Amino acid sequence: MTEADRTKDAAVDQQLLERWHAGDERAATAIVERHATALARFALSLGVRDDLDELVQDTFVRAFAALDSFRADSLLRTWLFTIERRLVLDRRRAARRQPDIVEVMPEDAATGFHALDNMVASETEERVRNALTRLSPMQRDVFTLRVQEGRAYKDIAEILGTTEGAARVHYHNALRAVKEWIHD
Amino acid sequence: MTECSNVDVQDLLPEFAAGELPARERESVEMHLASCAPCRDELDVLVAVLNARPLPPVMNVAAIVAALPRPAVASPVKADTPAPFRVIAGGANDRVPSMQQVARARRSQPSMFGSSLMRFAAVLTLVSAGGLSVIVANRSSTALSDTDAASVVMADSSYMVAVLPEPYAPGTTPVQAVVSVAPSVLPIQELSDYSDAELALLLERLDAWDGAPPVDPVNGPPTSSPSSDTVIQGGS
Repeated sequence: MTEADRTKDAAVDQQLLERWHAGDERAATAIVERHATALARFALSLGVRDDLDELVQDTFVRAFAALDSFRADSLLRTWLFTIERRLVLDRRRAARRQPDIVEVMPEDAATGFHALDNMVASETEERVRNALTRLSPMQRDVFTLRVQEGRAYKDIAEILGTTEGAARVHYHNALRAVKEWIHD
Repeated sequence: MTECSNVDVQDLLPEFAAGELPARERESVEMHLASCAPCRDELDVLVAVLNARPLPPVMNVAAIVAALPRPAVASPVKADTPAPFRVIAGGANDRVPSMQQVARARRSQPSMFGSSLMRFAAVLTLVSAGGLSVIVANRSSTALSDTDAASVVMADSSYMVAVLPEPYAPGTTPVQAVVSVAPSVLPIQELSDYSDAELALLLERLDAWDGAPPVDPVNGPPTSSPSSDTVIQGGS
């Protein structure tokens, strides 16, 4: 995402949020339409397979209930990603406390595909997905956010609670590893 | 294979792979790629990762929006708004009700019979408690808003019951006042907005109505004015 795209995105979201605060409920629909798909895709890359709709909905509900705490120097999508990731981590912690529920392991992440999808996926795509599963969770999150979601390092650092420099290092290490594993 | 040291171009490669770069930067990257094998190799990996992007299911936007909390609107409802939610005193209703809230409120309204019973029971209770002044006013009345000492203790879509605080001014007598409004000035809304008496009047007039178009079934036939061929009888 270029700086110009960032500025434009922020302006559009800011305008929608102002309309929402003024009581225009149609602005909420526009906001959800702008970000729901990206949130669902990010959830898949985090390894979420079940209740994807519910997770995305919970993310929006949490966000709208706390819009007063949204800082204008952050992008709305970045903030939504941060909330969603926290929800995913909370669910994993809750799942660990309930042994009857199958825990989503980090190895499951970055796929989000069913067996049938894997069968029809190209060999290269399969190799990429396998390579992503071999990355550390932090490397994978940085790499997918940067490549598949087009997030800037500044946003990635905010979403993952790290620094911009650390995000760059994780990205380059992930890229090197994925390149090597794809060509294996 | 040696790695490229052009960090600026490497930073732009994910956006280049996604086709999101502006024309000038895209041309710059293309020129670099023409002479840089490591960056071309890196670009191939990024394109493959992008193509392997998971395809999420279509989100139900309407369901998500319906679950969202409503916006807190600071502007109060205008006093001349004929909404059934407006209260004259109390200030509890400082938000504009949404359509869902309106629908819920309408569903939860008691039936006309039940509503009348509730009003009667409330008035009886307050009068029997003694020492209270009870004012039952039609909601279209604005007199209550000017009565600073009055506080609204119960309100529904048609009537409000207000209680005056004690002690009363010397020489005054507690009074039960019923403020009625002529049917002709009532806004035409739902049947439940009319009182039992008004509905009875309405039915009576409908029964008496002969179907002639000029006659208003609510307000009755227009008063006939004397004309040139009318014979006025009587008088001494």
